[in-house]
Amino acid sequence: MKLKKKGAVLLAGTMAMVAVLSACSNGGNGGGADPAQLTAPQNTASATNTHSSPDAPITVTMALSQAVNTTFPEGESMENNLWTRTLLEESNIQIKSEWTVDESQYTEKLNVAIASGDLPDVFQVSGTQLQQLVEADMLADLTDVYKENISPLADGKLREDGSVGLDAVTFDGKLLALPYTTATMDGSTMLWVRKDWLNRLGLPEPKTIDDVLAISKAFKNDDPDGDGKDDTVGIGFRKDLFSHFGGIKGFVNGFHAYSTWIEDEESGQLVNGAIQPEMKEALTKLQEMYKSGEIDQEFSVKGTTQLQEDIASGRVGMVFGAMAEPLANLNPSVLNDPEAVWECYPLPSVDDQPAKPQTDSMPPFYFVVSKQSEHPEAIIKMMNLNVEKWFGETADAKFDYDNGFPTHKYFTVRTYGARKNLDNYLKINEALKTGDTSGLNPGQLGNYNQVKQYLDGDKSMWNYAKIFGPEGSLGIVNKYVNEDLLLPNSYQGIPTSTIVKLTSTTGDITDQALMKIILGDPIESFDTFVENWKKLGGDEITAEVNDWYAKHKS
Amino acid sequence: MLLIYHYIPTFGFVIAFQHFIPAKGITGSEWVGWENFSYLIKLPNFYNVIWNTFYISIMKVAAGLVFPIVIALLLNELRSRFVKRSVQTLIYLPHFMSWIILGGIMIDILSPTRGIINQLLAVFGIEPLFFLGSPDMFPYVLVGSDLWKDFGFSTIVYLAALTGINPNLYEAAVIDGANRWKQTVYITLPGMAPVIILMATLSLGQILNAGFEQVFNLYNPAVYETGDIIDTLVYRMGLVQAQYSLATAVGLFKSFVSLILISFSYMLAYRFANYRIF
Repeated sequence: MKLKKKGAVLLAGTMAMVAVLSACSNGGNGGGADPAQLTAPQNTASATNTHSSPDAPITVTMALSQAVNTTFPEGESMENNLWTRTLLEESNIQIKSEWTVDESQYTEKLNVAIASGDLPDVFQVSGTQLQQLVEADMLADLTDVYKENISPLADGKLREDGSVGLDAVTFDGKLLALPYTTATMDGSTMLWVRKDWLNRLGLPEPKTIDDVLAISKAFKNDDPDGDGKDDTVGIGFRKDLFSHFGGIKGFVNGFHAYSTWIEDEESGQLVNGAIQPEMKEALTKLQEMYKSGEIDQEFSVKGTTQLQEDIASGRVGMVFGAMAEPLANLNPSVLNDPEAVWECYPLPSVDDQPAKPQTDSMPPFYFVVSKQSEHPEAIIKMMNLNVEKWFGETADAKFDYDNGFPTHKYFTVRTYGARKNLDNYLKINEALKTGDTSGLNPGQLGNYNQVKQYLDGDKSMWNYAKIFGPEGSLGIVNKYVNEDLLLPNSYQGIPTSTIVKLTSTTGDITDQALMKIILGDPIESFDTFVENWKKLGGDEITAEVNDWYAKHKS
Repeated sequence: MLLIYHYIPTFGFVIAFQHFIPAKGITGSEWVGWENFSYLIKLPNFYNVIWNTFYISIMKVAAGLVFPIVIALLLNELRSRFVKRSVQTLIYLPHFMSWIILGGIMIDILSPTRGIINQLLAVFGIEPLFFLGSPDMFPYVLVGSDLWKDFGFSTIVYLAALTGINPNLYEAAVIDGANRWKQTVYITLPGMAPVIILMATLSLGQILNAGFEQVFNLYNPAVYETGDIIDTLVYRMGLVQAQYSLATAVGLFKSFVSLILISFSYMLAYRFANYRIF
């Protein structure tokens, strides 16, 4: 009896908790939505589904992911906002949220939804989830609806990455998703250097790897900060070898070595860049630099935070990074030391061939339609509307920011195209020359004003000016693009489960071997590593990658 | 409640024997038998990882037993209540910090160039040691830092056990002419024995958890060979991209070994300390 009573109390307590919690999550949706508003579309929904009269809006259920810092005007939510209203008015589509969660929990929540088979009509997926859904045959074929409905403008934006994204989501000739086409070029690396140190020591700007090695030596030995102490290093690295910021990616690219898949010129097959002889050569140099103290003796235990600290306290003379480094990684250094000047240079090369910065080639996520959905064409219309409102003739500032609310975050099915930051840079600099800001969209105008403030003497805007300004880092990206130097990963398929499984092993031994060689293992151990890599799954991965390549090579 | 939230989800372990695809669910995924396990066993670093896990956690368990007992005994002999209380509180403090914070602190204080530990060693003329970067020293750094973080907690448990010993026994011993040391050996330690055995038993169940958070925040590819443990291996496999079946297989393996260890330690506890749960 006693036990039973306890159980009942527990049960009641839990149910109360569940009720409270669910009330919380409703409130969390930014809700306060009018109940009448919520029920109204549902009624129309059932009406449409049964009679499908041409004038009634079609209802599409969606899983909505709410990005960080998304705010709404009073009474609005992810389900009811500028985007959903515009969609209803112009495309006659009524959005209904199946569930809405915070961005950070989206992937997990969707995994649960996939497992239970209870999918909304339209939702966003990761590459792995896409592969799983394709294997389980749960996605609608979008081939025909795409051809019939896509606007030329949206088609163009989606293909700005050279159609890599669209090709990747075409399985056996069937288009099963829309890619979120984005700027992979923004991840290309460049060399960031303390220009004030260069000047103090009277050194030339780095053009070749030899220059870099000479500068690195001088930064280590010749007291570039003039404090009389031996407390500086040549190049700053951190323990994640192939990260954008503080990785060795930019350095090895200068030796024409890559951590991605590249085409072997002789055989025409794809090979993994990490096991090529060029990598060995680059590692030899890194090892020498580590021995002579030009690389931090402790870099193998340092993460982003520690490298940031070292840069901020003026111990690091050079670092490889992407165009966005001034924002958070270099800015503290400039704020701490008014004399610090960071300048960016295109990757230097070891020979007369220009260095090619490697980039990823796959979109970070995709938009898909459930096979059960009655209106697969809706997703195409959503994409059309998004591109039109951001880039088309009816584009308007209010679809970016409206009264301080980040309305651009309301769009779920969306794409920025592959050149957004670069285009902004070009437009801003044109406007800076002509003084005519009428051609700028609101986002561009925001960056334009930051650059302008910097040029007028406000040093706190250095970080934005160094990216978008006349001497900005995007100028380097522009050079890469104009001279066709970017080297996208040649494997552009969605990784199969075999590849995913084996990569965890090969990735481990790669990290381990490269790190140990830099820290002083004999350089011959590179050959052992290559053998191990091949034996422990590398050969199998290479075979699968080349299967894909044979099918898609044009 | 227990049934719904603990026992029913347990059956999810069957995905260790499947090529699990979330979209197909547990019932729809293909059965692959022992394939996931044989893949694990064939992993080049699997034995290394198992060895590291045992090695690190056995050292942790041993150090975590002996050290707090010694400290508790020493504290118990202190006359000044103020000093005793202060020391007790101070050593307890690190227990409340997360490894994410401690990881950063560790990297700083163990740094060969600027770290306080190496500066102290330099006073005695010892060359700077690269604690976190050397595979030889890494496991001991793990044990040491884990001990530093958590010995305060166990010390309090043992101090509590000390207060439970009947003072009459000490009075009797003094009359019999026993000095402090004899009192400790013949009264205090036997008095604490049940608690010590209980703590040892409990920690044996944890032996395959060598401390994911700690290792994850301190390790790097250069010390994989001695510092990589089962949990971090699973994390990397899982992180690379949601390999549910493999991760479950490792989890099941861990549970199986833990079950054997717990049964074993329970048997020991039952035999030597008359400790029983049922």
